[in-house]
Amino acid sequence: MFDLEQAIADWRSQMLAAGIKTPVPLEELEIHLREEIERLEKSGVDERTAFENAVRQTGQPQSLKNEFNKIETSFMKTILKCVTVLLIGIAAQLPGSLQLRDQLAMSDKWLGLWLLGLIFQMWSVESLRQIVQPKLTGRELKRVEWSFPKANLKTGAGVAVLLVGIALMVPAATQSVRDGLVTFDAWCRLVFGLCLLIAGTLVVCFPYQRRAV
Amino acid sequence: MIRKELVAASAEPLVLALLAKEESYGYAIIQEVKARSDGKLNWTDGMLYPVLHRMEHRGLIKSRWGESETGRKRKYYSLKKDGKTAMAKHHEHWTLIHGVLSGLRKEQYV
Repeated sequence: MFDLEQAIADWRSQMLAAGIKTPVPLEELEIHLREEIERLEKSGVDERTAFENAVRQTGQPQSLKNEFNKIETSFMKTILKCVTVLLIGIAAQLPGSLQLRDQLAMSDKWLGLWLLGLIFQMWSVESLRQIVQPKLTGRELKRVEWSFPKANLKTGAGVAVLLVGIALMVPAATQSVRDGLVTFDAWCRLVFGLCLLIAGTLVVCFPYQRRAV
Repeated sequence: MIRKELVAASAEPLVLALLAKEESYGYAIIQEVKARSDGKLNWTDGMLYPVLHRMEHRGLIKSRWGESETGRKRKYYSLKKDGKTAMAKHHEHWTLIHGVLSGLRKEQYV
């Protein structure tokens, strides 16, 4: 006597043995298999034949695994790329940070490298967030349309923050040009100003986004 | 029989075009492709899922778990904004290829 549930359990074991271990693809494939069996049975095929045909039509476990593997490899490559850029960013900041710790000042060449490192870090952290967040939370960011007065208010606020950021960066930039060195307090203002500049630019240029359930 | 390379190349644009109509799930996508091609475009069913997962990973489509009328669990896929852009590009490229082929074929009979 043919036992469909036992046959599906055996098919699952074969899939697991082939390496399809992640739950979502296997569950989707099983749902697909059951739908195909149901369709074939409705068309008059007996249960055993329906199962055998559905399994054949679904595909060989090893070829399916190879296809799923390609996605996992590409995901890991992206993560690796982001982490590499993050490490380069941290490394670029090291000489300037050490000089700042020892002398409470940073030469302009190290400052340039330090800022470049910061850009690298921000890029990699944002890229990682975009990749990892949807997988962890199952949510994505949603674009929100702003009404005319609100959009203007948003742009105005963004520009104000951006200008304050630039104003805070000016003393450090002047000091760097004049002395070829930036003192610790000027450097603090520079970093804070840079953060405001980025925040202001984001507010002005990007539509506000919120998490959608 | 359509060559498997062509079947593979057409999978993404076909899935995008089907999802542009409405959200759907793996089994329904396969059945609709079979029906629309009179069974000539015959995918190995399981191979659709890696394609769907890859497209989701690239941000072209998104998914959600739902239930059928009979209570069976289903994973529904729908198009994202980047998916619409990708679909427009695919359409442009396939139309171009079709145009070139048709033009050459016409010339043969002139």
